[in-house]
Amino acid sequence: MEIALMADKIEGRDERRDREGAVAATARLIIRAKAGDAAAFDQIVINHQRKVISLAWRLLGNREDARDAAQETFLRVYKSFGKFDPAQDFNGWLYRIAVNVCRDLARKRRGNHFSLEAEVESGAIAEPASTHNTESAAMLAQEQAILLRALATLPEKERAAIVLRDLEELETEEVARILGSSPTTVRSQISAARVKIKAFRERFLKREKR
Amino acid sequence: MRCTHAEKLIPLFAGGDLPAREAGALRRHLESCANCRRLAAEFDESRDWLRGFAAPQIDEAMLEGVRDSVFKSIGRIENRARWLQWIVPGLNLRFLATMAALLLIVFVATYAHRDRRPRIAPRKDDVVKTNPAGDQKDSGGGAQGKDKGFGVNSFSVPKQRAPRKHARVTIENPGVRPVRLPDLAIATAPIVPTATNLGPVFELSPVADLAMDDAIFNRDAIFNREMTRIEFQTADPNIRIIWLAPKDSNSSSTRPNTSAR
Repeated sequence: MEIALMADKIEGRDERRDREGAVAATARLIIRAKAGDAAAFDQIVINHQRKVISLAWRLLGNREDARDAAQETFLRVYKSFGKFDPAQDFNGWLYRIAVNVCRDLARKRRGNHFSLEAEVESGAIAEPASTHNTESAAMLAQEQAILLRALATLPEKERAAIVLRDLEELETEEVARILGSSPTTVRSQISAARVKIKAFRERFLKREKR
Repeated sequence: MRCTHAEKLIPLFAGGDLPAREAGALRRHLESCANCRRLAAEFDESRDWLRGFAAPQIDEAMLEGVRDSVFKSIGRIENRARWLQWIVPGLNLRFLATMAALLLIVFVATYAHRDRRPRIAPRKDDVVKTNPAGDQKDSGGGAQGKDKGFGVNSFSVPKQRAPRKHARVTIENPGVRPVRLPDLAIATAPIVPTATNLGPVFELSPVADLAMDDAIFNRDAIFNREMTRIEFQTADPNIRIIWLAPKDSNSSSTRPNTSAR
C-alpha cells in the first residue's frame, strides 16, 4: 500500500516536472521566435497546430473553416509576438487568439450554414480506420456528426465556453480569461449550454427509438 | 435545499464547477431526493456523451498545408515591410501614426488661423460710391489727414476679405436701395477698430435710404453745412450705422458723446 502511494507521488512529481519542462521549452522558443528565429516559430507552430485546428473545428464545425482559422491564428501570433510577455501563459494567449479568430470567421461566414451531410460525405468528421471495422467507423462518424450538430445549436459564447471547459478541459477561471468574461458569467454560460445539450441528446434519443 | 434550487445547480455540479460549500449542500440533497439524483445522472450521461466527441482526425497533409500557408503569408508580410523600409528607412506604424498626427495638427492650425481673420467688410465692388473724385483721392491710403475733426491717425487700411454671402445679400436685398445723395462735402474718416471684432466700413459709401435719413435728420440743416458722413457696417449686412456730423472740428457734435447719463 505504502509502495503504491509512493509510486503515485513519484509519478505526480514526474508529471509536474514534465509540464514545467514543457513550459520552459516553450518560453525559450518564444524568446527565440521574438528575436526573429524562423525555426523557433516553426517549432511553435508544429507544437500547437493540432490543438488549434481541433479547437477551431469544434467551434466552427467544419474542416475548411478550421484550417483557415488555424492559419489566421498563427499569423496573428506572429504579428503580435512583440506584445507577448514570455512570463505569460502562452497556451491561454494562443487560445484567446484562436477563439477570437473563430468568432470573426463565424461572423464573416454567417449564413453559410453548417452542412452536416457534406461533412460526413467528405469524411471530415471521422475517417474509417480500416476496411474491417467500416461499420463501427461509420457509427462513430454519425455520432461525431450529431455531437457537432449539438454544438452548432448553441449560441457563440456558450459554445466557446463549453468547448473550452468540457472538451479542452480548461479550468473555469482560465476559460474566463480566454473569453474575456468573469468566472460567474462563464459558469452561467456553461450551465445553459449543458442544459441545451442534454435536451438535444434527449430529442435525438427519442427519434432513434422511433 | 429545495428541488428548484437544486435543479439550477445540477448542470454545474455535473462538471465539478460548483464551489465546495454549495457542492456539499447539493450532495446532501441528492442523497435524500430521488428525482434530483436522476436528473444529476442524466446530466452526467450527457456530459460523458459530449466528451466522447473525440478530437477530429487531422491528417499530416492538412498540418503541412496550414504550416505552408502560414509561412507564405509571413514571407509576404516581411517582403512588404522590407520594400517599405527601402522607401523610408525606419518606417513603421508608429512613424506613420506620428506623421499623420503632425499633418492633422498643421491642417487644424492653418484652418484656425484662416478663421481668425475679420470677414465683415464688404467687397470693394459691393459698395456704391457717390463721389468719384473723392474715391480717387481715397483710393490707396484712404483719406489721409482729411479728418481733422476726429484726429484719428490715418493709415492705409488692409484689404479685408468679405464673406461673399453677406455681401450679395446687401446688394440684392430690395430693402436697401443705393441712393445718390446731393453733392456733399464728404470726407472719409479712417477709423481703426480698437477693441471690437466688428471692423467699420472705411470707405465712404452713401448707400442709404433717404427716407430713413429724413426721419432721422433735418435735411435742410444738414445740406447747409459741410457734413462728414461716417458709416459703420455691422455684422448683419442689412444694418449699417450712419453718422452725419458737421465737419466743423470745433463743434462738439463731431465727437461722440461717451459720457454716462
